[in-house]
This record gives sequence, structure tokens and C-alpha cells, in this order.
Amino acid sequence: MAELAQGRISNIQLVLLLTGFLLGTSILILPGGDIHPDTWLAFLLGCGQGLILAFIYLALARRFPGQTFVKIAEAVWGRYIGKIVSLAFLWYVFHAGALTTTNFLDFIKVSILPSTPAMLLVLMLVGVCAAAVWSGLEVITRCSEVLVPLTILFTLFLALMLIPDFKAANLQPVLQTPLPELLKTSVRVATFPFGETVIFLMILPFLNKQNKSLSSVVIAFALTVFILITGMLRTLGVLGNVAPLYVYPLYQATRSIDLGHILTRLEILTSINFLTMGFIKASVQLFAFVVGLSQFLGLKSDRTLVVPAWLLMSLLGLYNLPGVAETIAFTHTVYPFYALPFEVFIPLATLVVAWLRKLPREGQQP
Amino acid sequence: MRRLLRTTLALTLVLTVSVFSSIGCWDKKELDKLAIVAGFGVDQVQTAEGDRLLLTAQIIKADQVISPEQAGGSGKQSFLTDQSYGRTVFEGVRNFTFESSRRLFFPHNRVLIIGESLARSGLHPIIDFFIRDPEPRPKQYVLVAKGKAADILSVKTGLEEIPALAIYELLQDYGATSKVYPVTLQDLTKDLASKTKTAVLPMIELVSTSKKKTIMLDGTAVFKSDRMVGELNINETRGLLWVLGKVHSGIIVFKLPPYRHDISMEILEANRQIRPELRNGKPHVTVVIDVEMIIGEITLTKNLTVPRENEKLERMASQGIKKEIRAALAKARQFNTDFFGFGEAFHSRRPKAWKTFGPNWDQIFPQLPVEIKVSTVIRRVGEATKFPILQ
Repeated sequence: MAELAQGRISNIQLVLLLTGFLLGTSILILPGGDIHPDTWLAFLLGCGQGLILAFIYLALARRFPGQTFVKIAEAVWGRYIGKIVSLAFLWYVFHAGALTTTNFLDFIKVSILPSTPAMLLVLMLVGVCAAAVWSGLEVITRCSEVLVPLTILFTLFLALMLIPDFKAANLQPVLQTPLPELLKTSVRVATFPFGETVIFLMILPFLNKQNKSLSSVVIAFALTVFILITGMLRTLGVLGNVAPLYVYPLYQATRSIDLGHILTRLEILTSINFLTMGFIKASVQLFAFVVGLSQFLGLKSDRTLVVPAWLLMSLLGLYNLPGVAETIAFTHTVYPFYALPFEVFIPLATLVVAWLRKLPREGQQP
Repeated sequence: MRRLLRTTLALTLVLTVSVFSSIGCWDKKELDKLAIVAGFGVDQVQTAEGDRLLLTAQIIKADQVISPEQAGGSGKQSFLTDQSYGRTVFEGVRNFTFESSRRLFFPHNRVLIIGESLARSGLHPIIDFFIRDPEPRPKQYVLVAKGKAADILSVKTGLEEIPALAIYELLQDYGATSKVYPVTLQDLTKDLASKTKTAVLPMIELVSTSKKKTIMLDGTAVFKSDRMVGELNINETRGLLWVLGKVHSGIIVFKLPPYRHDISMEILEANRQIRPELRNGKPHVTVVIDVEMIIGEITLTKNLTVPRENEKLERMASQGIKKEIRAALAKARQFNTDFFGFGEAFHSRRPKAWKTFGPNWDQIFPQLPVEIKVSTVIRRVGEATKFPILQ
């Protein structure tokens, strides 16, 4: 059972893994739609709302220590409804993974390798993730230990390099966005990326010390929001009013780095950031899907599912959205509503029912 | 069974890896298959089929650049100008393949030159390609050619091997006079997207003498929305640069009354502030400029001790600067183009008031009171403390 999850992860590893996961696609596609001078505030608000959601997930995980969401759902909702709930959850995990794949693919097709066939790109990209999942959770975690600090370093370095192009006037006027607009943006930020932490209901059981997980989550959220705000401020400071014009404003802003004609074309660092963080995110999603599905089906070995899951996720990633404009529109307009049941209703309802039924009962603990 | 599975898996892996390892070939860009564009020009021309864009690409001939002695000895040019027509820029770019054996490669393009007639009819139809396509860099310079861009790009320049790079260097060194305003593609995009700030582009012209043709930067093209509506001369351009805070260095020449001789002052450092204010509910702008100067050259015949006259010199220099700014301001009012970005200053610093009068900025701007405060400090006097001529 769960042979992929051999080797436990420590709390500091959880911080890095969760940070990498949250930065996954948001380091390239800034959450919350078009950026304006008040977006940083929406990020903070969204992070706060995300923390409230994270409390729900942690409460659920603590109530059922050592159990993944698939097991929890079965225990709380009973055999049949539980299966439906966990199936819905697994669909979400799978589809979220496919969306990450789509983002990968769009970015590489638009900016780096326009004429390379998408099918090969997507198989390669998800293939690396599948290899990581095949090697187990510990490998993914150790990758994040190397890659996340690197991403933080690159982000700060790029921000530093952009100082010559930075214009503080672009960040003004402050606090002029009407409140409903700000809240709308913050809800978007809460669902993507912060609410996606719900997928960690499949990871948390493999923690060393469950009771310390809260501080890890808070630190990871703070780190993420810090990186996002840094990226957002430097992008707006450099691009100003044209930032919404570009598909990838964060990437576009770094294209203007030109220090003495020597330090130029540093946008590759943004690509590296996205590829590494996207790798962590897609790996975690693939891992959660594989482990969840094997528990759902009651399989003896979950490794057998890695290859089929790799191919399926690649295919859905390839075909679920027709193009980059649709992907961005989906992320900003449809996704907040689409994710709501999975990120809020299902975990919250599960927690409430577990509380009402006083689960888990003594002696029922596995 | 297990062994079979393993063998199958291993085989699949080997096969897939061998397929994937050829992945780089689709987007390969071999140096000897590319035509590296250094300068690119767009003109509007009449052809038999109607209005067309004439695209001119100045392509680096890599083999000629590698060995300058050889190239110089054989007298060959190290660049090539190629032309093509199209209804849109992109179509034209692809039409290059009718005559050029190599694909145009834009990431190293340094200057984009737009013909004046095209600039006057509007930039929107052509600028999108350079923003949308991933190849052109945002930091390339954009210029308007007096006449046709194609002519500018076909002239060989003095010292530089590649004329487009020469133009690039000219713009880079604008600070020597601060009478040219270099505009990058990114700046232009921002200006075109701005609701109030209007775009300006430096102008370049072809100067023909009996002996040879050269290219020269001259003045600034002023845009209203995406259409060129007028020009600033070089002194008005520096007036614009004062307000934009882009003045690096340069010389101000004036006469110190009652004498009739010229004094040249060198600008050492300049700082500016734009203060958008509301006076009686009406917008009002104060431009504050602090300049540090050096006395560069005095062609005066009377002996003066410098400290006593410094104050007078400072006052005269300030007046010279004010004159330049006023000239630029007059043009801005004449064309009703807010190329100083006063509207944006109000938008970012007086957002509440901006909401009331922002939509009518077009009517407000020509009457906008602008106060100019210049203070000049003479920091050094060069190597002579006194005026040397009569010594």
C-alpha cells in the first residue's frame, strides 16, 4: 500500500514542497487577472482567505491522522456516497494536473518552441513528472528542496536587475480600486493558487509530525505571497499600463533587462522558474491522483498507475483547452467557480459531517 | 510475466527516449540558415495593386564582419539591404523568402525605422507585429524617417560596419547633447496604450552632399494617438527632455549682457520634479528643475572674476532652459498632445480629482497652466578661474 509514499517528509520539507506547489503556475500567470496598482492588496486578502481554507484542510487531516482524503471520504460519507465524493475529488486533482500541463504547453509553444509538436512536448514535460512520481514522494520533496530556494533566488535577482527600468509612478494610484472589484480579485487569488492546497490532503498523511503542519502551511503561504507580490510589483513598475496587454506580463517584463548589453535575455530565468515550479506542481498533482486512484480502486501496488496516469494527464492537458487565450480566460473567470466545490464545499461538508458523526470513533482507527 | 512486463517497459522507454531526443530539430535555428536583421524599415508605398507596405531589412553579412581587414581590403559591404512588399508587416516578412534564401531573424534587430508618410497615416496597423511576435526585442529603438525608411537603411555610414548599429550608437549617446529623445519599442507601446500621454519618436534624415550621403538625427516626431501630427526641432526636443527628466549632459549657449560674446555652459546633472496640483479645483502643474553646471567655454573679452558673476550666469542659464521648455510646451499646446505625461502625473498622484476632469483632458490640456521653476548651480569653472583672453 502506498509504496510511492515511502520515506516520510519533515515539516521544513513540507514548507518547500507547498511553496513550490503554490508557485507552480502562478509564478508565470499571475493570479487575479489583469494587474493594476492594487493587486498586491488582493494577493494579501486572497492569501488570508486561502489560510482559512487551509485551516479546514488541516483540521480534517488532523481528525484522521495518516489517512488520505479518499479514505477520509469513505469513513465519513459511507461506502457509496464516499466513493462518489472521492471520485469527484480525484477528477479535480486529475483535471488540475492537466491544467498545469496545459499552462506548461502554452508557454513553451508561445515563447520558446513554436513549431515543435505539442504532443511530444507534453509527453516529455509530464514524463519528467511521472518519473519523479515513480521514484516516490520523497524524491519530489527533495527536488523542491533544491528548486524552491533557487526560484526565490532568481526572483530576487530579476527584481534587482529590473531596478533601472522600474518606475514607481506606475504603482500609483494606490487604493483606488472599488472594494467589490478588489474582493472579486482576492477570491480568484484564494482559489488559484492558495485553495489548491486541498490537494495536500493526499500528502499530509505522509508527514513526520502531523501536529506541526499548521506553522509549515503558514510559512509556505507567506513565502508564496511574498514571491508573488515581488513579481507583481516589478512587473507593474516596468510595464505600467501595458502589463495587461501581454499574455505573460511577468515574462515580458524580464525581457527588458539590459545592463550594459551584457546582462540581457534574462527572461530565460523566468522560464526556468516556471518550468521547475510547474514540475513540482504537476508532480504533486500526479502523485495525489495516482495514490488516490489506487486507494479508491483498492489496488495492491500504486506504481502500476503511474504510466497510464502520465499518458492520460498528457492527453487531457493537450486537448482540454484550445489555446493560450482560452487558458488564461479559464484561469481567471471559470476556474474560481469550478474549483469552489472541490476547494470549499467538499472539505467543509466532510469536516462538518465528521464532527456531527463524532468520527473517527475509538477503536475504528486503522 | 514480471520479466515480460519489465522488458516491455524498458523497450518502450528506449524507444520513446530515442523519439524525444530528436525534439530539438523542429525549432532548430542554425546560424548559417538565418539572416540576422540589424535594422528594419517600414514604408507605405503605392503599387499597382494598391497601398502596400514596403519592408526593408538591413541584414548582417556575418562572413564579412568576422575579418575586418579582409572586408576593408576587398571593399565589400558587411551588410545587405533586402526589400519586400506586403499588405501587413507579417505578410511582408514572409514574402522575403521569395528572394532571400535565409529566414529573417529578429532578436538582434536594433532599430525599427518608420517612413514619415506611414507615421502620418497611423502606427497601429504595423506596430502590433513587433509586440506580438516573440522574436523582436522590447528594447530596440524606434525612429521616424524624414522621407523613406528604405533610403535611410541603404546608406553606408562612416566608422561603423553596420549602419543600423551606427544609428543605435547615435541614439545611445544622445546624452552628449540631450537634444535627441531615444524611444524604445517598449516606451512606444506604453505611450500608445496610455489614455493621455502621447507618443514621440526621434527623427532621422538622409543628408546628401555632392560627395556622399550620410544620415543624421534631427528633431522629434509628435504623435496624436497613433498619427504623427508635427515635429519638434532639436531645441524643443531638449525642452521635452528637461520635463521628462532625461537630460544627461549637453551645452547651453547664451550671451551674458551687456557683452555680445557667447558663453557655453555644460550640464553636469539635472533633476526634475513634476508637481500636479489643484488650485481652486483646477489642475495646475509645476515643473521644478535643478541643474548643476560647469562653465565650459567663455569667449568674452572683458576680465571678470568668476565668483561675482556666477549668480548672473546661473540666472541666464536658467532662462535658457526655461526658453527651451516653453518652446516645447507651446508645441504641445499647438498640437494638443500631452507628451510630457502631465495627465498621467495627475492620474497617479491626484486620483480622486482625476476622476472628475480626466475624461475631458483633451479640452483641459491646451489651457493647463504650467509653472516652470529652474534653479541652476555652477559647480565648477573648468581649469581657468578667470577669463583667459585678456590675461
